[in-house]
Amino acid sequence: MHVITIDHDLCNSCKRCYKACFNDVIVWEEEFPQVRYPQECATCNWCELSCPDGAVKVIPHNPVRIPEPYPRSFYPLSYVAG
Amino acid sequence: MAPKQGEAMASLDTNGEVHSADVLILGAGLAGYIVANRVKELNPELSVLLVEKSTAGWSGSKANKGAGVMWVMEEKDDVGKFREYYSAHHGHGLEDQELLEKVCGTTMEMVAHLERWGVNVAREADGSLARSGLLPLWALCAFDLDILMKLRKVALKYGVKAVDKTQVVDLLTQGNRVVGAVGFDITNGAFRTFKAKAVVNATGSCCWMVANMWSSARGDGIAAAWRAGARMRIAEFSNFYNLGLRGNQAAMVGSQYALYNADNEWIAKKYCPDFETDVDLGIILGMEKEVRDGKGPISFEETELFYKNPLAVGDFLFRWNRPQAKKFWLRLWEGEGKYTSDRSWRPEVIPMFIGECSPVMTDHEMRSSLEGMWALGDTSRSGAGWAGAVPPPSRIRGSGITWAAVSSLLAEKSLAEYAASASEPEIDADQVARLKEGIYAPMAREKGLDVRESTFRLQEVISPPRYSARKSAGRIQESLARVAEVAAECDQVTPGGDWHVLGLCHDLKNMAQCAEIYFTSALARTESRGWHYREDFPKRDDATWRKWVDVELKDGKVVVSATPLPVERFKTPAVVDPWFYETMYEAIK
Repeated sequence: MHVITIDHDLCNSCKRCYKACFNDVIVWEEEFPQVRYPQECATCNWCELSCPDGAVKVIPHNPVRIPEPYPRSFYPLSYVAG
Repeated sequence: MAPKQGEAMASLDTNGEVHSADVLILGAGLAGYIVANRVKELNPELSVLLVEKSTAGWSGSKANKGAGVMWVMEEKDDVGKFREYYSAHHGHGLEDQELLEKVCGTTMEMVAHLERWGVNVAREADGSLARSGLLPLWALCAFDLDILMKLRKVALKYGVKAVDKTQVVDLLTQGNRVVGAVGFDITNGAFRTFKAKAVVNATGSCCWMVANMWSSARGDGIAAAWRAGARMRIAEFSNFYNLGLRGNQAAMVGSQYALYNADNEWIAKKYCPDFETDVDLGIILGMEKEVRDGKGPISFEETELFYKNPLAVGDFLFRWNRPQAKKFWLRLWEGEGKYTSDRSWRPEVIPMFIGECSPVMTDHEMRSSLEGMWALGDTSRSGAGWAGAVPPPSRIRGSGITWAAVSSLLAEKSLAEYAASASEPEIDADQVARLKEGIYAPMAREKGLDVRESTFRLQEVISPPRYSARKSAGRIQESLARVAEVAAECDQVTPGGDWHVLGLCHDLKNMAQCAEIYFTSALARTESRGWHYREDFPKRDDATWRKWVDVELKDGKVVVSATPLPVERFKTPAVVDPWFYETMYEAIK
């Protein structure tokens, strides 16, 4: 899962990261942004880029989980196991 | 007293907020904002309300997270030659040529409006539009990625209102007329009813949350329109693939001429023509063929990215001064370079499924089959008919942005006139109550399935190339059966008391319905054409199939029909490209 961190000591509660997130990964609670749903993060980085104080960091965690295009069960000569 | 636009008023016995407007726009992406601004310019008296699942001005599936490019036909571009080329190599004879010409003729109007509203459209020192020089018959122009902010500023000045963080689930109807919508606040669960004389459906396409950057495109508006009885057109072309790195899904745009199999053979020679303007189905089927033959994985020779590539990335993105786009892309590439799982000299490339299901049928003014509802942008990209036998972006990069804007301009007049003259809508309180019950039903389940796992099961029957590139009746029926299983899981998933996850539960239902529309249409088209390849019907059949496949829900049943194209009104006869239908088809057998 991707990792998004917010340093609340640097955060000025401007809400820019909260507004920039189009997948509702960042929610607004108790006057601060909180990372609640990293499962839906698209790693677009707009939260990080929008922050005027450098409080937000996005660290993509790869490989991402996607359906295997070439499983051996369907492709006997596939280089992919499984 | 009638409620004022954007003000909540508990006037129905549903305990929710009721918002009223003359024009209700679902989705505050590019199409939503452009049509909002144009309606206000045409008739400032009309009240306009945007409803957005995230935050208006920061949303949309393309405008703020794409390449920032748009397709333009300038006066010097020959529309006739373009139409002939497009028909032979993109639309494959299934395009509505009349609408295609109308779209071409509206792109400069789009540029004029965008610049008037303060959007930074790239121009050369002499004032001419800056355009990529490598495309033969059309212009690829650039704008900066703060486009929505610019449009939002204009909208605020015009008095356009917006309700954020609201997931619209269903449309409200009065007979065959759409008169509003209902949804809920994804942050606190508040129920909202929207009442309007005219409704614009602009929530975008369905990409089934497979590819990261397209993950907000979940077919909300398409599925809501489907349930309300709207007709869907040529949804079989919902299968867009790009080429992407396996590890992080980074799109390798235009890399088809830089791919090698495990035997170090350059595979473009078999699956690509000598020159093509953008990725085509041949390389997707060809990559799969190599793996079937035991010659995978397919790797990407980065030093050859610029070979035969009119979309050469460096020039494509950075020739123009676009500060926001530069910031976005450099940060994205930094992350990909640092964290991707495969940075070998020749990283592995796989077919990267994007989808782009966009089937809401419209006429040439973007009116759907439901009275009072217009469908814009990626909601109706296929359904409008002009694109033909190719999924968005129709092998024309930047056409998603263009279509969002142009469809808004094609709709503006009829929309504004209708909203000004339509009778006051009547909201059926029983319908609202019934839909409200459906919206919150998952919250009653204390235990159940994990909605993210069910979503993955849906993705497994859509994204692999054996289901969406190399189709056959057997595999389509297998997909439909598994989609039905996932649809049944919609009654078993639990949000665990979380409003965000409740939204995912509705996304799952919507995406399953879009999948049903897609595969039902794919099963009906018993031929191969453009991006629809049927292993069991490997011939293009113009005598039978110069028709659009239409599907709609009638009395709970899916009804399939075929509508002949009005070819008698077209200027360009159908041309069968021998390379595509003979050479390439032979190679991928």
